[in-house]
Amino acid sequence: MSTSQNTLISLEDVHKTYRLSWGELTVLKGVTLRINKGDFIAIMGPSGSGKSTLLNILGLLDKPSKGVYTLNGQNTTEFSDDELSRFRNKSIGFIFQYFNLFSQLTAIQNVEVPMEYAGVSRGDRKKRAAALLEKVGIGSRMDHKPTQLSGGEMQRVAIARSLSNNPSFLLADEPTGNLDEASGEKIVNVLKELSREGITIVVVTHNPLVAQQTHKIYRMKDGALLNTNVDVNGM
Amino acid sequence: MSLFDIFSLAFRGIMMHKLRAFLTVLGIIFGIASVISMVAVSEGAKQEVIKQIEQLGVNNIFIRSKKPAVEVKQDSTSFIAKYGLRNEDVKHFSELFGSRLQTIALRNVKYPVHTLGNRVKVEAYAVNPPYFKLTNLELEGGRFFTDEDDNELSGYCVIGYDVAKKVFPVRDPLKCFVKIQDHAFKVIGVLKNKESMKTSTIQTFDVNETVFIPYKSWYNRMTPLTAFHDKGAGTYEYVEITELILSFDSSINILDVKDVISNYLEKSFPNKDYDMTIPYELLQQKKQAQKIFALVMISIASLALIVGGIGIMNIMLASVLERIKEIGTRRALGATKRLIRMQFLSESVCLSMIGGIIGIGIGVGLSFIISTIVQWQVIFTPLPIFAAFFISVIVGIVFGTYPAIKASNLDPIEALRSE
Repeated sequence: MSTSQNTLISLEDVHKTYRLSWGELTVLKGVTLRINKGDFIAIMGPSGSGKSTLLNILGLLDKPSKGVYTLNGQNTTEFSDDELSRFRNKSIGFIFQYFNLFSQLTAIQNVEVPMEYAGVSRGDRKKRAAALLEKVGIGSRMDHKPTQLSGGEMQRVAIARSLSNNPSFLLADEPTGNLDEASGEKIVNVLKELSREGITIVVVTHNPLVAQQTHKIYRMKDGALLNTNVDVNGM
Repeated sequence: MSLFDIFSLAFRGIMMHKLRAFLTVLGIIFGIASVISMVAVSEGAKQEVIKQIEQLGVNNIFIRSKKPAVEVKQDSTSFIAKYGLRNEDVKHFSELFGSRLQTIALRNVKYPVHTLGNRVKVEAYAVNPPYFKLTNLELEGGRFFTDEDDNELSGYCVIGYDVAKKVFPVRDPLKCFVKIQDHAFKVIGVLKNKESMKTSTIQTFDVNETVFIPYKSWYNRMTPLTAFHDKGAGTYEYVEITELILSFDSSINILDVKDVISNYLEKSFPNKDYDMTIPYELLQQKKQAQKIFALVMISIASLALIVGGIGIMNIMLASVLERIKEIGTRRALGATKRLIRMQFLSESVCLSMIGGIIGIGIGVGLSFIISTIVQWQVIFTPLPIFAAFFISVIVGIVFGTYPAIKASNLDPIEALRSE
């Protein structure tokens, strides 16, 4: 697999091994994956398949024990904790199953947080946060606290927050896992819309209905990626 | 992330639990309030004492005759208790120091005082005329007696404010006489009310309740020999001077002459029938005592502040545990360890700073309440107030560091997974 100009994420033979009291546990056994700019992909797999570990590695929260993770042409394997933080801040937009909004902050303040860390000025922060909330369809509720919002609305705020620093890609962990069907569908539609605009999105889910909306599905089993590059339409 | 952003974040964090935050900073509030009020009150007390001592004159030395504790070797021919300073001692000092020394002798007359045929409960003192100037006494009416009056052995007297009020409530005192023993003294001056210095250890009598007569008149008319008639038995005392004030001019360092004087006194008075008081030394002692008091105060206050700081640390640790998920999320969104540390540290600093500010306010209020209750002046200097504020910030940093480090060292994955 050669690296092309278009490659955003490249995992080369990534292993992850945990040292536990009773021995070593290998969770990822040589994952190789390439994601191009603009891709909209799903990673599926049962619990214990190594899905979460792969997500943590893709999200730069964890480092591979072996192998190379290249993001935007940069080898992240030797990054320091501060560099990893900066990359998470600027290059990755996290969307969580439980939204992970800050309950003491209003919707717009939540969206501002990553921009605060990036050093964006107060005025620019407010403007951009408002625009993003408008874009995900809750411009009218930006001064509400998360407790005053429905699950679907909270996830929209989270999506707006993930977009705040113009990341290289969005990393969504079961984005509809905590929503009813109707709200979930709306969230998927928001993601599809973002994908149409050219934003790269990686969704980790075990909901096939969500996975089917993406362009490619990867399946994890026992720490390995199966059926790589299976096109959804070809299934 | 700007400092403003960090502190507004900290403030929002605190506002999540207003009551808890308030209870947490109570320790700091009390600590700071007690420091502020103790310093203000003790500063006021110190100024009071210094004022009193300075009124006595830091260039003065007071020597007082006292009846020796041991039985005085009695004259074989009489039962006269003879003790204390003599005019020859005054002469000795005058010769020794010349024009740089002014001596003022006082003698407690000890005889009852009569006016208008009635005995009055006031004391009479024979003094050298410069006494009035040296002790800054002021006149309500009339004049002081002068050296000329003294040399002429005139029968004049100057009376204290209360004597005039009590003894001559209706008559004009300046037209009256005071009788001591068989001698009449014409009142020529009435003193202004002098603030009582009863708290002072040096002033032995209240000038407001005293009749002053010229020293030489007394010496010649009544002589230093005083006779007491107690239950039929007569006792005699021969005392020339009860109190001697040595007032040096400013070219003389009191500490330099002190030893010369005390050596002379030790030699001349083996019975130790005298007391020497040096206001300058008292001043130094008071200042020293003040320093020790300040040290004790600071230790007590630091204890209170340490307790307050532990309260803050406790609540910050609880807060970190409560917000593990928030910390994980912030790390995922790109907060560095340093930023997480700053967030929690600024929160504890904010807490202790708020406590400090409230404490300063309460301390100032408390000082005024104390000052009105004890009728005692309080003095605020900016230093303790700034120091209190600064210390409260330091307490926040010291006791916030450990929880902040704990928060920043959480593993983001673990933190995100927690509920």
